[in-house]
Amino acid sequence: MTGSLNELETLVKRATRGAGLSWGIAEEAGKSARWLASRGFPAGALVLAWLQQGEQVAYRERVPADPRGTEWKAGASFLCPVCTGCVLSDRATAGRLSLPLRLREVLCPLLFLPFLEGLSRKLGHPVQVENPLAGATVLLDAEDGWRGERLEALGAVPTDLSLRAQPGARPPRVERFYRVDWEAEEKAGLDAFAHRTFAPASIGHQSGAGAGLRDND
Amino acid sequence: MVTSPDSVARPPLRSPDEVMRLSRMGAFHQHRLSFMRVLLRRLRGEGWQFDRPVFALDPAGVGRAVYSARGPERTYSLVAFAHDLPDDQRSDRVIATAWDTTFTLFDGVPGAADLDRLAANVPLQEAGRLEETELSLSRANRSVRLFEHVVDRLAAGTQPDPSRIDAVGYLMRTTAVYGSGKFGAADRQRIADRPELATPFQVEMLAVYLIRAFVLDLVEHLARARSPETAVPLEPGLRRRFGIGNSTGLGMAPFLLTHPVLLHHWIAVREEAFARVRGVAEATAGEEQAFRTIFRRARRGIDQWRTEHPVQCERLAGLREDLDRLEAHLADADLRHDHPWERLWAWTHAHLRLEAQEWLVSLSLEPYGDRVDELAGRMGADEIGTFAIDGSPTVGEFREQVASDYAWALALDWQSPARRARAWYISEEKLEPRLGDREAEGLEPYEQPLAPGRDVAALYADLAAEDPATSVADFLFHRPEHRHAVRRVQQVAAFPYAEIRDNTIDAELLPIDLLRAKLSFFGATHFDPRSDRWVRINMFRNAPFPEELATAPEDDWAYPPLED
Repeated sequence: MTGSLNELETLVKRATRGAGLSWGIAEEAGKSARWLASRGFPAGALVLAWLQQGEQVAYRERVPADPRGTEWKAGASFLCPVCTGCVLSDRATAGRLSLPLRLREVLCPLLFLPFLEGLSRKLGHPVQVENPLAGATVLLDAEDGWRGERLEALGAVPTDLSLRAQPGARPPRVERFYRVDWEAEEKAGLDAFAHRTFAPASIGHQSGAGAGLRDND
Repeated sequence: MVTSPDSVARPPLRSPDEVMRLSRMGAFHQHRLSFMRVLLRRLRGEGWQFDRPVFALDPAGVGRAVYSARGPERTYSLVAFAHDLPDDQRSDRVIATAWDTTFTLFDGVPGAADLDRLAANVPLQEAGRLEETELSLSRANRSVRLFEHVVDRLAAGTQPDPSRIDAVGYLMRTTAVYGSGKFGAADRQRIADRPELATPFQVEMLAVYLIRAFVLDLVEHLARARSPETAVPLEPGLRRRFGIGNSTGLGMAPFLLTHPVLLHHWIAVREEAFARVRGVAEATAGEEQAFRTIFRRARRGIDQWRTEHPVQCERLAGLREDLDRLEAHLADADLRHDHPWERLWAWTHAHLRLEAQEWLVSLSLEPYGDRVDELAGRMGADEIGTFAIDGSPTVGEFREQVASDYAWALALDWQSPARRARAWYISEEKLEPRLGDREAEGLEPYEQPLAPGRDVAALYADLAAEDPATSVADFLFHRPEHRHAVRRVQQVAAFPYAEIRDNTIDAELLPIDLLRAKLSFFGATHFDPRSDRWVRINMFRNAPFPEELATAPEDDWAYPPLED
């Protein structure tokens, strides 16, 4: 089944909230999923893997213990790609980010990539992120520029990343996609997380939609 | 004060603190920049052609039809399915599962395979799936009060009773018009760069405009099928008096809260247009005459407005009384010299209620299409580029921003049960937004983030505990629960009309005020609340039909003619 980017964004936002993260971070997750899907990545599957593995981990344990340094490491777990992405994005706009930056054990690292677009915009030139062990590299900018190599090596397991500015590089413009290919299982998995945000049928009936006057006349 | 890039001499825009109150937004009326009017101006101006490549209905009116609108670059087609719906299954509620008619707007002209695929999905509505070639999904039900009467009369060779047409105003009402990627349809992003779709909701408005044409054809088809020997078509003047109804509930209400930057652009454009008109130093005799004529026609539209809802009845009575006073004032008012519209606004603002004030705002744009119509191109918004949070301000600076833009929220006592009486939630049954009693119904765990006033007040309190020199980035690092509220404050700082400056979970909240504000921008009239949270309206009443558009006067349909 195919779906729209809007459906993906809405579902991911609700699922992220259902997994216990704040609404503001859920909004970022939705936008990130949309960004990845529009570049042809299986965003739904990535988000599901992220939510499943991160579910029991508190926010404080999944963000950098000390974001002021040039090596980010989670206090007691892996780095969450979305929560860490928010930290990166906020610090970048505040001019409080030192590059190059090393990130230890980033879960589902592709989900971290959308946050680099804002960093590139702030810096005014492309940024490159790589995992030398796997040979995976991404160069991107804020004008839809994109060059990725061996990204399939960046799966769902926590991976180290290094990030640096690449002034002068000119990645080619990425092809844009407007559809999402859904696997039934990943859709069902995200639906289950999202479902936690819905009020059960047993409550909320007293007023609900407001019956009011007759509606068949 | 809100600044604007326009070099046109004009007074300042009205303040967001004045405009963005629910009581005022709930008194908005349609205007020149409403989306239906923008659409028909474009279709007419660009000489769009219309045809009906498929009209395959059986004598009972069951079957399919296709209506195509052909523009300079692209064609869009309404695909209509008409069904045989037992009377006891007809419901406006979103929980309905069957309808008299179902529709999609197709991008291009559908082939036979497309139509078969759509026939298997569109009649199921939310339970079906659409593809990227589909731009909208909607359905409509008959007005039991009027539909049979019209078929009966036409079949017998006579015209329907005009007073019965006016009492209802439409033969069918749509009960949902979905667009923007819903149920698999194409994303807004996919089509937003097309000039004909740059103004918001043009897809949905085009679908509804063509639905109206289909419904009138359907009723004439049924009359012919019933009595081929005697049936007559509707007389054209009478035919135009049918709009298309719409029944809208809470599903639409959160839209204005979840699209703050878009809301800003709508309101800012209307305010800019109004300020340009107030900036007119000397009106011509033609402009004065145009205003006085439209005043009489619009007054007639208000006289035809029917509602049974106590709140709207009271507002309507006040509006009619105020329009009497305004009419008396206009009898000897100078509408030519010394900033006539600014003076008229000052008088209205000082003497009349909100309904009449906002009515005058809409009306005063009418003689000035040449000054304001181009603003329609500014009503869309980039909602992705305005998403990122700026981590650079200090907490001290940021608190000042909150105090300035959210003074209305900080002044409320959020500990008082009445101020937090309601909660917005999504029901698992239909995945639709609902509004309920927070405490009595145990809704808090399921609450949607649709109470920006409360959330920003909580943010403000927590900011007070921080070192003022801390950056917003550092604050959010350890207070991620405030992330959505911080984003909101920053969007409102850049887009001052982005926020409704009222409590959206108050015990006294009237959700119909949110619906009214949005529907006025669609161009809806005859706002008829059926409870505090759902409403019926009329769309395209008195508008020329597609085949009449080229020869009809430009944009002259939004108010009833002076005589029948």
